[in-house]
Amino acid sequence: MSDHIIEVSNLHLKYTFIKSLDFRDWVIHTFTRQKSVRKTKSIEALQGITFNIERGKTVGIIGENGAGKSTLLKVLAGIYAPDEGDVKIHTDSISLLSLAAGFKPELSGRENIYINGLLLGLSKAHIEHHFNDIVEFSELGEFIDNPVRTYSSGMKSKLAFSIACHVDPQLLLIDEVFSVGDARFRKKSSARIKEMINADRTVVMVSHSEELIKELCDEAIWLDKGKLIMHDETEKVLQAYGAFANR
Amino acid sequence: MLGYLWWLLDPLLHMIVYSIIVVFIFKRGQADFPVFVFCALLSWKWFSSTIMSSASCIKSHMSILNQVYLPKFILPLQETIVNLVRYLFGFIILAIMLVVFKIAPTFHFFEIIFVILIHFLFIFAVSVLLAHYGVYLKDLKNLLGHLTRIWWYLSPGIYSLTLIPEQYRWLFWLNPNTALFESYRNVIMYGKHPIYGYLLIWGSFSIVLIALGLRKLYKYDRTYSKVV
Repeated sequence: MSDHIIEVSNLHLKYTFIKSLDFRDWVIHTFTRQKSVRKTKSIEALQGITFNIERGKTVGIIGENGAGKSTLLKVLAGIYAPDEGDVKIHTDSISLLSLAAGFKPELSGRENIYINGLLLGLSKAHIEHHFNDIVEFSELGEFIDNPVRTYSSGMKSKLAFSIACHVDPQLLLIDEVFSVGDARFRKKSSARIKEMINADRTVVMVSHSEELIKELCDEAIWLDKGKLIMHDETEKVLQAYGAFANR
Repeated sequence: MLGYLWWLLDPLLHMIVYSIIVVFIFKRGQADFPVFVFCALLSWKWFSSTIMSSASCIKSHMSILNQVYLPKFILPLQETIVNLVRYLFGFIILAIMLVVFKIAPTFHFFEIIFVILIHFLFIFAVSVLLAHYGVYLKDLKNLLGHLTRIWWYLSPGIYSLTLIPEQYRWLFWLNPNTALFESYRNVIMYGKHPIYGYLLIWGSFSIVLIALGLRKLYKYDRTYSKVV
């Protein structure tokens, strides 16, 4: 096995926007013999990305909104298949931390901890073992037995974070989960994330906070409009990115 | 909130409506008409609610699918099983009705397992295909609501196959519901075998459909969530 845990070569990925079959359009096009508009529209979210990441490194991905950062993480997590190119991940234990958690609104926080934990790849025994830690970390208290639909958005993201930070994968993908909850919780959660990063695992993280990237990452990748601009030591990339952002 | 009770109330109310229409308004139907309808209606509910939710199952689980990778066939399978459990709950009402209408099931009742198995395959087959097309066709759900209603009335659910003129009866056997409904009634009400021949044909047909559907689902497995 090579010491590269991630090998990405010439990765292309596009999103497809569907114009669903529309009856009115269909009638118009059939009877007026107009040229039909294209049914789909696609956007190249990633265009020819190539990079390798060594085992044990912490890598930050930076770039403006819409640069393809989250898309890249989803490809690495195996949620999207590349449309072109190759993605090799040399481990089976991958977790993507993002706060778009799929909670079931009708179920209680307690039940959602189990469902979400299982989906994130935790075993039931593991969840049971850490259940009190999760609840305590989330600061939900007795709300844990209420349905999730009654939670405020802050409570939901706190709960999502508390579940997610109990995963223990070899490759951890973090999608901008630092800005959760109030200032106090944010402090607690960044401390927890730093703990997770410092353990002996590979981490790829997306963040808009350059300080955080500077503090935590060994390397950085700069994406812009779906293209990889730079992949180097954090200092150098941040310098170049700073110059670009202030242009 | 009545909650789980709706699993029982829903088919019960439907059965009452059909019984009122047919028995009291049209003055048709034999004495055990409510049981006759219920045998078909209960299983039809399983089919129709499963395919309705399967048609949108990938879209409605998008937030989870965007977080972790899941093999997509799990979603229609889950819908099929959840509704199977509801279906089996409905047998509580069926049992009460059998007592009320003094119908004693025979040992043929146990052959219902085979009928349910075939029905399961058929429902799962349709669900897998709809799960795939549901991602791309937004109107599918509206369309399905009407299609299932038409399909129900074209199936011998609230009427008996014997009411159909002999020369058109073969057409009804092209409808899988005919074999399924008649088989349910055979084992529950009439103490007869299910119609094994047709069931086997529909079973094999379903397996072919499942294979086709799974191939589709696997081909597009990691692209569904990219569709916006």
